[in-house]
Amino acid sequence: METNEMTPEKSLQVISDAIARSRKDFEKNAGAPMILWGVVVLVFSIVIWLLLRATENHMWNFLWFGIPVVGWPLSHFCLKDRCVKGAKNFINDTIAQIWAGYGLFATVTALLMVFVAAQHIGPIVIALLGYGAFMTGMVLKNGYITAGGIITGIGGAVLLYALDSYDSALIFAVAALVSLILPGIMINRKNR
Amino acid sequence: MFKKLDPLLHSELRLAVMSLLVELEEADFVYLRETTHATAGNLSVQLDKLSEAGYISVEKTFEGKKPRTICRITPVGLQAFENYVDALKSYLK
Repeated sequence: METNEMTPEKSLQVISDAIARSRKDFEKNAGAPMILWGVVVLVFSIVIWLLLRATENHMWNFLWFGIPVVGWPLSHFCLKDRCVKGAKNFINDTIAQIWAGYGLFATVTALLMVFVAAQHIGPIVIALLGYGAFMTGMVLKNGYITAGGIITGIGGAVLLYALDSYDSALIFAVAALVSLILPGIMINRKNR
Repeated sequence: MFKKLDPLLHSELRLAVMSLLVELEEADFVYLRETTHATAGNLSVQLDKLSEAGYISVEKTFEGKKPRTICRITPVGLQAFENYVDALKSYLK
């Protein structure tokens, strides 16, 4: 591969090939974490909504803490073979940090509110989810993800006034679908 | 007037490595070898040249018991790459 007889065209080709190859590596499974976390949130939301509706017992809200408990090991085992090994890319790192931040803030918020205002946890966590999706969309320069984030974020805030805490669990399921699962599927299809 | 092309970058493998490192925050030896399809020996020699010129930094570390060589582009390397692309443009106008 060593030569000093490259033409300028060949040099440009080498540069664009290397960059395209690296981007392809990173983009191949970029949507997988969003899909995985989206499905976990969706399943938990529907189960919690069903339990709340059936029993009218707020204690089922504690099940929200099962999301990180189930999600982290699941993402560790399911996504480890889909990560690009041996290289770091700024965009992927930034998105991972946005969602790690979301996980942290959502968990801390829920912990602080669970005994005093458990009925408001859902809307606030939904609003935070919208913010995470909005930031992801901005980083990826993807209008659909950004718009989904804005709708989810505003929707979360409106829910504080509009719905009882039972139905906010169901709305959380819809938010997971709009902000995580569908964008994840879209990213994967685009990069296939 | 054609600008002079940096001879250190005007080599297919070194240019490919620099292009990857411009795009990435960091990449290890194995990733660079697999992505460029270079032999370990050749890649090692070219990384040394880039490192000696201050274009990349090379960090030798361990992942468990396995040695790992991590490469990152330096500000000097980034500037050299930008100059190289500028020079290329003068040839292509």
